[in-house]
Amino acid sequence: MKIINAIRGAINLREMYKNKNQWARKIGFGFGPEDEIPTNIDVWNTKQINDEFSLIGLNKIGLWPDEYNFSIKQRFERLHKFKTIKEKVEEESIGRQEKNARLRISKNENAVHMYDTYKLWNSAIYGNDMFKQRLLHFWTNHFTVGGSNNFRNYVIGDLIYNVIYKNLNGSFDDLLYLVTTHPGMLDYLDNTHSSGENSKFAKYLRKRGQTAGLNDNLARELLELHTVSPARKYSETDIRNTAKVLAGWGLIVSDFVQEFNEKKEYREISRNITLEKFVLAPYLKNKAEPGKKVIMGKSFPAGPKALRKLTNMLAQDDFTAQHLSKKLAIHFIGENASKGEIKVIYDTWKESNGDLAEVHRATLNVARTTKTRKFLWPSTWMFQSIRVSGARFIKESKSDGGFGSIKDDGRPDFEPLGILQEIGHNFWASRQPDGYSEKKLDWVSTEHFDRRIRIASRIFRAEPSRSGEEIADLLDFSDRTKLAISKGRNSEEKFIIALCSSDLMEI
Amino acid sequence: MISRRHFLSIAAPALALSGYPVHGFTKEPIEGRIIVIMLQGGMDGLLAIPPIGDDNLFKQRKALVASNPLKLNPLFGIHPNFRNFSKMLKSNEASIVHATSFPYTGRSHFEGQNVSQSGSKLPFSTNTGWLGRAMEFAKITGKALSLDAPLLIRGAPEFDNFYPANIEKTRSPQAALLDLIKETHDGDVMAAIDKLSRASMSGPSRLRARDPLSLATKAGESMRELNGPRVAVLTIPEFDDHSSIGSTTGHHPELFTLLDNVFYQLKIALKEQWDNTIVLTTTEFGRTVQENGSAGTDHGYGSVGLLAGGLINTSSVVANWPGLSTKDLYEKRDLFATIDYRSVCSACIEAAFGLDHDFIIDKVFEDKKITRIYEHIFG
Amino acid sequence: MTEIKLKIILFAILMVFGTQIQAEENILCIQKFLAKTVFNPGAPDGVWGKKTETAINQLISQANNFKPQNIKKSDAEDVCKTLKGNQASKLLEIGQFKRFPVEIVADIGEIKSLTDFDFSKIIISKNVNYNCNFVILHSKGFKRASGKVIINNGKLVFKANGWRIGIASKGSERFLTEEANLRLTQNGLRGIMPHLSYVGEGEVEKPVQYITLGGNYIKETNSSTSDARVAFLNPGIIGSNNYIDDYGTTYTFKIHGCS
Repeated sequence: MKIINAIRGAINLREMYKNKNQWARKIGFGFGPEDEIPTNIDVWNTKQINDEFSLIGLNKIGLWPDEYNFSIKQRFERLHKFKTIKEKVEEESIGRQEKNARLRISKNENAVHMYDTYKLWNSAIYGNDMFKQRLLHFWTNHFTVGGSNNFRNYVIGDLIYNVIYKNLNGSFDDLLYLVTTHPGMLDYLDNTHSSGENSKFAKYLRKRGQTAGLNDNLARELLELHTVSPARKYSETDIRNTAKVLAGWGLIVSDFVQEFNEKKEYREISRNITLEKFVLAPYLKNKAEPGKKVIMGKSFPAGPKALRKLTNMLAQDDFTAQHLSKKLAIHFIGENASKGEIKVIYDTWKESNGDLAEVHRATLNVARTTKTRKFLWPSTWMFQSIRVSGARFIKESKSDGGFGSIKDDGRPDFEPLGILQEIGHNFWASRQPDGYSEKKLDWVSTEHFDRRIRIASRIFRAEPSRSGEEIADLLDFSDRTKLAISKGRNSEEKFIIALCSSDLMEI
Repeated sequence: MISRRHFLSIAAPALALSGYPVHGFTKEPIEGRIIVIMLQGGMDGLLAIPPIGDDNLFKQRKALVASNPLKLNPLFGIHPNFRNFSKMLKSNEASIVHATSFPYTGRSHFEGQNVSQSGSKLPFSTNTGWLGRAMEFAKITGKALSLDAPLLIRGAPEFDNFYPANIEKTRSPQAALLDLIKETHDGDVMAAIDKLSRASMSGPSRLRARDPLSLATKAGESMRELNGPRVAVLTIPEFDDHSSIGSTTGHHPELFTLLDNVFYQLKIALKEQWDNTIVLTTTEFGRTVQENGSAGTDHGYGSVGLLAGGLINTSSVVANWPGLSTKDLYEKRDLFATIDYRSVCSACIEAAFGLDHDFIIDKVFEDKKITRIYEHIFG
Repeated sequence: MTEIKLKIILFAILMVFGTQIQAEENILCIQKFLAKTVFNPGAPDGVWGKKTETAINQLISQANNFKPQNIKKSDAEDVCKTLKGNQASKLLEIGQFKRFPVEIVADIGEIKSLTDFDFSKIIISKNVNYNCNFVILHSKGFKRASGKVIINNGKLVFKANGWRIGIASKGSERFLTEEANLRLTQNGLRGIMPHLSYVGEGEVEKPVQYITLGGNYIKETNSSTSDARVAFLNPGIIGSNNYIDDYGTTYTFKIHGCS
């Protein structure tokens, strides 16, 4: 009952976003010239949360090709193939140029994250599930898994699409557990290097004169960044014991344990491990820490079930609700979201016990009536610019220079990854676990501004069907911006001014 | 957790040390320049500067020693790919610190990179870098040669970044356009657009390349300008060679060539300012002494620091050599770090900015136990 | 023994003993100081052994720019005074680290240029002297570079030329002229040459690549011979080499129109 009242309460306040185009920008990517503007925005909002969406294909007509959807198993297979070729090529006695050329070709052929990035672009620009896509970006950033040369680039897409996206309407309990046990996360935060001090694995290595032990990177971030946050005032012992519960999860993706593998009784950890084992059973008893662990006053038994028990406890902790409600507010409402606004989301979280559909709904409702503006992430700004202007950025066919075509210097013709990297907002980039900043000042450096202006001119060359002035009218830009646009000397300048104005960079 | 108090203006009485007139300074403030080259991934110090006089070197990593290192003294040699750097060693413009590391043994890239930039012992405990804090106290400006400002330089009163965009079919923003865009923004954003305006008005940059070598040229050139930056930060990535690291030739040695060329290029570009400059490398950790199963090495502990610049007095290798027999290794696998690299950083700050050692370790590093190594490099 | 003699003997013994104690104290003072440095001779025992002598000599030498010292046991008192004097903290600081001077004996020589190539095992077509044209073609047919090249005793000397590589073309002329190191052989061109990549508007310049040409002469279809020299001897017949750049693109280096 409380939830429904909260929503009712929100609707009774004066809606800030009477302009539907602006509303679509607040919680999504805006409406393009070919998008149907919904007549009833309430119905649309509900659909945005409740409906299941089929992913729009590359050419706007069909579905996303199955051949570009990779299961976790397929990702590992491709990675394995690339690595095998890499080792062979490095050993050959050919010139450096040829080595690089062959590696590049093999990389493109076995690439996976290029397709993943395309999907992200495509969904943002053409997808009907725009609120879900925004939420996808938010949660992917919250559960940051940074890329690196190989392994993680292959599996980040799996985390995004097969774990986060699929659980956007589920419970936070489930999402947290699935993310924490994902091979990408286990590798990124070094849990693959962690083993219990009293585990068989560690004892074996110590006998050989080496040290193996706990690595508390994931444990620390699980508490600090992903759930309760330091406000909860947990102790170093809590972190240590969390690491003990986590030890045993995640296989090491290196050959460090090769000798260990050859010992008969530890054949479970083998370099030639089958993909099934690697992917589906990432828990290794031999690396686990035996015995009970006490974390924040609660006791956890030995064995794999302890982790689920722990993540449930963290997911249901009050501080988690506080922490994440605030983050959601900051992302959708703005840096200066008020305590009252955060509280609405928080109340819903507590009432629904972390039901993400409800929490997202509450977030959406608070966004409707907020007066706070949000300085958009560069990628959000870019996707909105492309969508609203109707620019033909993703070309539709290979022969047209679209997806899959290769430039004359061997690079793919369309570089979605490269552009995300250029604007400093790439989900496959190597970066810190606290993810990309939500603060305006972090995105306003000289170089960042340079990038945005360049991207705006690039978008202009992709034949947008709306001009700068039309965009300004459509989105109710301020008078000062409209004046500045009018002073542009040609249509390109007007377009760039419109895109790089504060009106479009904020919402 | 370290909580850093923000000194925006230095209060006079608290920091007058040793009776010197200017707060925190040893003498008249020096107009020196610091360039930090961050080697990302973990540089293999034993491959770069092999201790050829240590018998255990060949016992422990036979396949990873270059076949023809240049002998520096009875104990140390240098990888042959460091041709320019070796010339600098010969002319007393370079030095090496071995078996050194920031006080971090965790072997994680993120934590290691954070510690080597923040200068604090605990990872993720502060939002500023040691260089940024030093710049703040010395009140000077810097330039980061990357898209984002790295942690190392945060906390500085003013810094700029430079990193040419690589987006095809786009043009450099022009001044007139920038002015119009500025009109649509509030005050806080205008400063950034202003800087962009200034850059665009100074004409198109001759060099629109952003490989480390080209950035080194850019760094040197801008540090010669009047009121130009006095600090620059460069990054050379890809040192994380878990497989096929190479010995005489190979991936790591290729990076040595690149690093060597960067040193050379900096000297060329800085021209007369080279005499006032100190360049130093940092890396998050070294690598294991023995090779792993894929002809590579894993994350380790101790590594080397390479320094060059006119501020160096006499070339030498500074090392409290721990030895390479298994019992001498850290956790029986890594080169021990017997020198805290923060000593080296402090010495460079002292040499280039003129801040006093005690002041630096107290205010910049907040750790009074950092030993002064200045005399060994700049004395 | 008379009392006086006894007293003298006792006094002498005490003197010697006292001096010994003093000497021991001096040595202890030195050893305790050294123990706080990296020149640690071991547990302080008051005995002037080889370890102590080496250690103190090393420390003082290091503090004096490695000037060889000759400190003996007899110097112990003076040394101890120094270690207690106003130089003490300085010496202590110096003593925290060991420094090894750099003494490079080997001749580092001239910096090897990036296009250094070992031609010693290759048979160069020494008697070939011609004025030719050259062109470098992208696999799709675009002209990337063209100009004039003189073959002088088998060595290629580039004259007026330029790269057509977009916005980076300006200033590209000097690369081949100054840096290319190529020779003509029976099997085509051998050596190293700089290769510049195409830079489109808005893109960043890519670093110069140094390509090793492999002597894989490609015979033109209407040529009766596979000997590159013969081909060049006949004006109008074209000879070429292929190479791949870092990005996997194939280029063809053609020499033609020789006279």
